[in-house]
Amino acid sequence: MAYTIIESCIGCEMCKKICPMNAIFGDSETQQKINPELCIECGSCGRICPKNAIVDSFGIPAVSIPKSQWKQPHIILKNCTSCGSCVDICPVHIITISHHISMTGKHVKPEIKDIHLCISCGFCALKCPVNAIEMKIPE
Amino acid sequence: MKDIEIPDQLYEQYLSGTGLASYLLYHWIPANADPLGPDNILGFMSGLLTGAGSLFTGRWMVVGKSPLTGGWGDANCGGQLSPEIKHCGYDGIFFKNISPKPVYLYINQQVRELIDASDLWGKDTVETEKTLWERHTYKKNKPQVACIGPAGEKLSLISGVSNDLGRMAARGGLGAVMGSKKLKAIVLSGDQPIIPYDKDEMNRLSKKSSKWILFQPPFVSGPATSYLGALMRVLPTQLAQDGMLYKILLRRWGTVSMNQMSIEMGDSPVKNWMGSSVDWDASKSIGVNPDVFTNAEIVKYHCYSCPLGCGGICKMSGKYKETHKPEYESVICLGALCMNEDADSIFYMNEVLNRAGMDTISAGHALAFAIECYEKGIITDADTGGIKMTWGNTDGIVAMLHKMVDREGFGDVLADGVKVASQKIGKNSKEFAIHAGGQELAAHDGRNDPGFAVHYSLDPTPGRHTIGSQLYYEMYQLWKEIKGLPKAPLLYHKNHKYLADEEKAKIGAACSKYMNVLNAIGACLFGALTGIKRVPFFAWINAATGWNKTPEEYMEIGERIQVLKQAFNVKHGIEPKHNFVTPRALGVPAQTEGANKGRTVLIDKLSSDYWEQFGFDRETGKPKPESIKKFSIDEPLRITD
Ligand code: SF4
Ligand code: SF4
Ligand code: SF4
Repeated sequence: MAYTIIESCIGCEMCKKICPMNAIFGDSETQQKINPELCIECGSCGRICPKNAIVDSFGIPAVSIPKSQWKQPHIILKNCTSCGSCVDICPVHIITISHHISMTGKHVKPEIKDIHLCISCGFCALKCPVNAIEMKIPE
Repeated sequence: MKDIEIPDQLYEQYLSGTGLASYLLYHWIPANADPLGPDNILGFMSGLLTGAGSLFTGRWMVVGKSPLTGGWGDANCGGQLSPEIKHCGYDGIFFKNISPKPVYLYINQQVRELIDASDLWGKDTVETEKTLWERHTYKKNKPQVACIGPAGEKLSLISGVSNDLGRMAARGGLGAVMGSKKLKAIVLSGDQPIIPYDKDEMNRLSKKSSKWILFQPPFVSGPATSYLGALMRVLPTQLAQDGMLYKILLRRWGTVSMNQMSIEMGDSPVKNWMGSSVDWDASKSIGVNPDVFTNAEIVKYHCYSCPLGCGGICKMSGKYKETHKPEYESVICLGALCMNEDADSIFYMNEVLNRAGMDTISAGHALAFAIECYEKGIITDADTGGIKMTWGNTDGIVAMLHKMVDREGFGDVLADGVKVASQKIGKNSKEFAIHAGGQELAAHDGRNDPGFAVHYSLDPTPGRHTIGSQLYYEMYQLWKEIKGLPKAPLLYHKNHKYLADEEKAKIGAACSKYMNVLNAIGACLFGALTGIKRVPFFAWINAATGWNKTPEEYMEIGERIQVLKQAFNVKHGIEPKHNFVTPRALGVPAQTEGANKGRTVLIDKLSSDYWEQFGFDRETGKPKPESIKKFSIDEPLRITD
């Protein structure tokens, strides 16, 4: 399963820049291609494509969304168990578990560094086994 | 390199992890293969539930024929490695043959290759892992590494495999197998998603379970734990222990919470299993009271998918600045067992062993054994190179430890564990070489809880404390889910523990079966100790796979794995009876003072009854043809490659 790029692609290469897997290839100003072996279906190419030229694995065209409207993860620390699943899954590796003083001692909690690198894939929220991550449009 | 497809039916029969691995290795490793030769096969396994959204299921397992015991060998460790095996698209990775030069395996989404590791050979585990991180970090994505240190390279039979900068899958000597194959490391960096069958149900179960773990009332100070232990020693009756209490201790301190309590209640071995809390009272153990470790702790850490977080990094002064918080086992084996009071030396030795890739439990036993040999005049300064191996002589202990990891002088004799050392030394030293089937015991005394002696002696990988005991059984609370298992009474007379009745065999067998399931799904013992109702492993397996098996069916899978591992041992020439714990640690002769005064483990009766539970011969412990047949163990391998 993977995303694919259709003929309306103008080769602006926005998708190539954002793809966390380097799965997109092709010369500039020509139709780009996605290597299905590498694509993890994060959907960020679809969100960024100005021509809506990318379709998901069900054949549904992705809709471009202005970057300021991309949802971002918020960690609800009181529910978080520090299990690290979100750290493991984030394709751009911006979640780290670092020192955090909590009521129960010095247990570590995850932190999102460099939120501007977030591609809004929502994998962290999906992966969190205790639903401690919410995806929200930033205010 | 080749890929092997595992039919679903095998997963349903053996799950994954050590379960599936024991099936494959039973068929793949020829009888009597040299554990350090080309025919042995070394595997790295993730667990069936790893990455599926369950809690407490991030452990990975290293498997193979153990050079230490000559039989089935597996060891496991937490950290972040297990999910990475799956992100690479595998449940397990196996190695056979011997490489002509040192190599490491590198896997990422695009490549899969063996890379020359000549420049890494000789480096310690921490340096090795850091070097490999630097070399293979891609777009901020740090790979996960498992590697051996110099101990494994030098084929020390008590060496293990390290991940996360010196955490060890230590037992069974599988580091030496990796060393014999000239495999320095595996480096994994995958991206494949792990998708459970029913994500919502997984999350529902995890959310409910996490509430139990995150509940953390304030608790007594570190040294006060010794009073709790002393109370347990003097009272004639005992309350069945609820795992929540231990969970609270673990979340606050980690396993070091037991440092003083266990000594006081008679659970920790002292002075190479000769002593007791009389020799090692609270004034001596205070140096390693739990607060010492939390005070040195810079940060706590959690393994993958763990809500509890018993681990930590401690600061220290001297050559190394940091070490993983030493575990209870390490503290006792390098401390009370050698009568070593110096806490700083324990931190230091912990780091030296982690970096060398050597098991702290076995190393501590080897040192205590050497001390007893020295004190008895069996070895002298001429043997030790002038090192004074006397009880509690910290300098001597540390100096000998260095010789052990370097395999120098007398250290070379000790580096293969106490059984091999006693064979080399002779002169009745085997009487105080404390092991079961070649593997040193952990720091839980079977004279206090005979359940430990049962599993030390009878598990296909003898000498391990992570399988079961009467205490674990109370905490697993399996009777709440599984029909026909005896319920632990809330309050009982302690003498009840020391009877070799039918119930003990049922308890022992239930622990073994359950642990086989846990090691197949990648679960952590400490999660299981919180109780099956609070940490619902069986329900998670059903939600992750879409199966609809009952807890009893899962216990049958555990039984199948046990029969198979025993058959593995018999195939490789092990006489199960020869794996019994050294008599001293069974209370033969019984101690004359301390918590375990007058106690002897009735191992002959206990073993026969336990074997019977699995359909093994009561006398020899070998699987009878019926049980081999029941689980179709001798049918040809059902995979195609
Ligand atoms: S869906 Fe994500 S991984 Fe796949 S091509 Fe688009 S950006 Fe790359
Ligand atoms: S949504 Fe979460 S997983 Fe995805 S890029 Fe952002 S932080 Fe990482
Ligand atoms: S996955 Fe959820 S529970 Fe685990 S560390 Fe991340 S936010 Fe916390």
